[in-house]
Amino acid sequence: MNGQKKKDPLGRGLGLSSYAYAMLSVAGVLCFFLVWQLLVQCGIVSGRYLAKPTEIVALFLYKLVNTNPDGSTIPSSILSSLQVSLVGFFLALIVGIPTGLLMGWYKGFRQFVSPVFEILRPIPPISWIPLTLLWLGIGIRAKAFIIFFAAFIPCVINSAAGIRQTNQTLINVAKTCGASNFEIFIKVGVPSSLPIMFAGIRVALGNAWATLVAAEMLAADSGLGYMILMGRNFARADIVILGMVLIGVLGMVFTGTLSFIEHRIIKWRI
Amino acid sequence: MKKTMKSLLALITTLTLAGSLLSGCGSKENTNPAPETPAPSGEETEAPAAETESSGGTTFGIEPLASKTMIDLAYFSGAEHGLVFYIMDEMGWAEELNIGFNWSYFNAGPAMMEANGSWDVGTAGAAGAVNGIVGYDVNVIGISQYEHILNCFVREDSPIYQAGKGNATEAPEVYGDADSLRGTTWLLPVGTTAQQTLALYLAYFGLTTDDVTMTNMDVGSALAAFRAGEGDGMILWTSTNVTAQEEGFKSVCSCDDVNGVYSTCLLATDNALDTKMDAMTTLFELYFNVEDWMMEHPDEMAKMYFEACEVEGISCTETIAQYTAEVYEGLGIEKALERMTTEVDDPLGLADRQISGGEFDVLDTMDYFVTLGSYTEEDRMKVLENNRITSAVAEAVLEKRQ
Amino acid sequence: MGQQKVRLHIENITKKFPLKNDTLSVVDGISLDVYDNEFLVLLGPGHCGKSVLLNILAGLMHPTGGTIELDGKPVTGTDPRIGMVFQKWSLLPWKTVMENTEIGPKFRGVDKKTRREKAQEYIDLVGLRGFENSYPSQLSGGMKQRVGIARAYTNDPEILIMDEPFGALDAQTRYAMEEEIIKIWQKQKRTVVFVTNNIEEAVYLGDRIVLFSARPAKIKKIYTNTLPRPRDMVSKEFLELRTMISDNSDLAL
Repeated sequence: MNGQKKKDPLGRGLGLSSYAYAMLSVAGVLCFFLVWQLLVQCGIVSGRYLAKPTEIVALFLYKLVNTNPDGSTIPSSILSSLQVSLVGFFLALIVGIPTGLLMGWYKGFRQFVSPVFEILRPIPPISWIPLTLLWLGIGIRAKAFIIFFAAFIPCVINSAAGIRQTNQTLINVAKTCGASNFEIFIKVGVPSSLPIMFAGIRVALGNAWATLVAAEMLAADSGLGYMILMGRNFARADIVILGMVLIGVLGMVFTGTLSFIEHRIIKWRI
Repeated sequence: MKKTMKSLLALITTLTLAGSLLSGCGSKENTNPAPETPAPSGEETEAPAAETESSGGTTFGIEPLASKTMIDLAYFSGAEHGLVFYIMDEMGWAEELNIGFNWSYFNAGPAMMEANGSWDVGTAGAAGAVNGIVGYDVNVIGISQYEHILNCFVREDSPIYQAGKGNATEAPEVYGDADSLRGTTWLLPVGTTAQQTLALYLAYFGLTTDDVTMTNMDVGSALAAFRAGEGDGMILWTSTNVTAQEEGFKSVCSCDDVNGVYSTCLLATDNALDTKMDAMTTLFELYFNVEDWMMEHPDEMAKMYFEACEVEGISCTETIAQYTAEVYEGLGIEKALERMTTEVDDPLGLADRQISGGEFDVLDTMDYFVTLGSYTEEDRMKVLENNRITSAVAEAVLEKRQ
Repeated sequence: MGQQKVRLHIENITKKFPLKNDTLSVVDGISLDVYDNEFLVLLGPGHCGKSVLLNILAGLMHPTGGTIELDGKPVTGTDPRIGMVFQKWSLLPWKTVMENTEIGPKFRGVDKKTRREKAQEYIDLVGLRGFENSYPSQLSGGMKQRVGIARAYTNDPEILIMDEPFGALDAQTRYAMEEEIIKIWQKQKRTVVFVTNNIEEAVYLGDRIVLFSARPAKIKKIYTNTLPRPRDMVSKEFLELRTMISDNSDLAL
């Protein structure tokens, strides 16, 4: 047990060891599940409307290999959702980040692109669904497009904002060292924009994952959103909850991975 | 200090969880804001001949309720089984019997069932009804109609259509063959009688739904996508179906071609049966009498269907309304009463008693989904044991009429 | 001074900024010669315009009027012959000390081996040997400034401009850096133009001290400082010169 106590300089808090703090987090999660289990076990909430955590776990294990009642196993549902969302998400990164960076750096480009972008920005991704159906059909392309749209916006906005707050002094340094505007853009602007850009990527990831469910509900034959829909069709609240939990957990995994990547890339920050 | 922290944490978590649950429980969910109950229209439509038997002097000779009772109604937009309520309200026949409605609007069964805490009476297709009686406190109190407007459509140049009729010996009217059907993509609302139709259709050629791809879409989106070239086939109902026919899409199989029972159900919640039984009985009688009127006055029915769709924002033309009225097969009061009180054998032989005609109809749809694993045999047993498909209201009506 | 070579010839530089209904004159007709290898200090109260003048010298700003010539050739825009040390925030935080130092030659396309050697030379010169792979966030203020100086030197400029480079440091570090910069300059002589608002610093460092008025900047007087180095901040001569300048200074508002 790590017994080093962290002393808060102002004398606030409990002054516990970092192990104790970690245990608090674990306790929080366990408390949550305990209360949930008890609520249903003691009949405060009907078991029909809220499945117990133990039941959800059992269902999860069952559905790892079984297709009932919605028609797919969990691995195939997850795979399907991942395919669609990651395609849309990475496309958004590839298109959105350079667009944002260029918009933030080159005034001409910004003037050209900005008005259209500002009109597109407030449109909720879900409202693209009818047009997407028409243009792209109902396959992975259509769903990926809706997700692309949801993820693309924060990428652009944050990349532009990030590069616009590039320190003028750093730009001056590069200028006095003889760099061209383009070189300054790449070597000074882009790295400067990374912290804010990553914040945008995190938002984009959240958007992409959240929109996935909506996109799948429009026209799908598999995926986690589809699983939830089917759960609803057959009055299986436990399937709905399982789907939601899976979506939540996967979302958490993504954000965690992103944070890890971010710390590796932006390691100069303390 | 640690102990206090832990108990504080537990308390906060409990309160947060309880708070969020309480706000979610018993939500009065309306899909659309319910408008004011439409005042009976002043139009002078031909008054149906007054029944000379029994009391009241009301249009159908039904005894009105002693005092005005408000019923929370789950209204299924654009469907004939919901239309009955629209008509009875428009014509003032509900008011005549001291019945008033609070309207909630739905266009899908599952959503209606989820909201069962906020309505007393409603109608839905069989699949939606099964959802309600298995998962929620909903009961089937009557069989409203047998659907005829449900078809599998393809384009004229589809190999399925080109394969012609007669390849299935048990169903000479359906088009297609195993080769043209295998591997095709179908747009339909999954988990409904549409899916059941597809399964029965494919079964004629020795195929199952695993041999094709089903893409879940509501009928409106399915038609739009199909027009845009998506999918090899689509399965539609109600006005969307008729629109597709008018647009020249070819029906390769209709629900009449397969051995399925396509019932739609009149539903009531446990709460309604416990607290408003008199109103339920009267409403049941009125509902099916109106159905008889609808079948005797197809032109009127068409007009009102068209009107109701307009009000709901569902696309409909006069031709569609006309066709809908023509093929409408409501049970009407006599058949409805008979259906709920006649006894037959359980086709699967699983029940330990005889089942009613209503149970037979609903189980036909449910059993298909049991074979898919969507529901379990235990669910089926519970439905029968708990009398979720109940003849209580029908019997009360019969008693009243004696 | 007549024998000294003129490196930088500044002729009647003016700078005006447009306001809503007016213009703001910040630099008002500055003419000045900078001699070879001298340590020239530009001293003036805050916001008097000396930094603007410096930016014009460095090519980061265009003058409204006037010309600048380096060794007889006009200066327009940034020029690698004129290197600059900034006050703060001047190190690229994502690059190590070595990478920051070598950045000038890197932009100019010099190969890695050559520029690394050169950068190493100056990292040693400023006393940061051993810190080549540290990131700026791991360095103290004084160390960061030393990197800035090393970077400016690595570019091999003809003229070194320093814009209040010690202004953001605490007093102790500042004194230490003042000593350091003179040592470095003495080891590797360059022509230096150094801007400050601190009179002690000016008298400690400069061969000549150009005293500016408050905004708009005009040259009030140029003082020659012949005190031998290393200078003693509390010696009689030092304090005399200091008082002379201080009496003549405009207060900044």
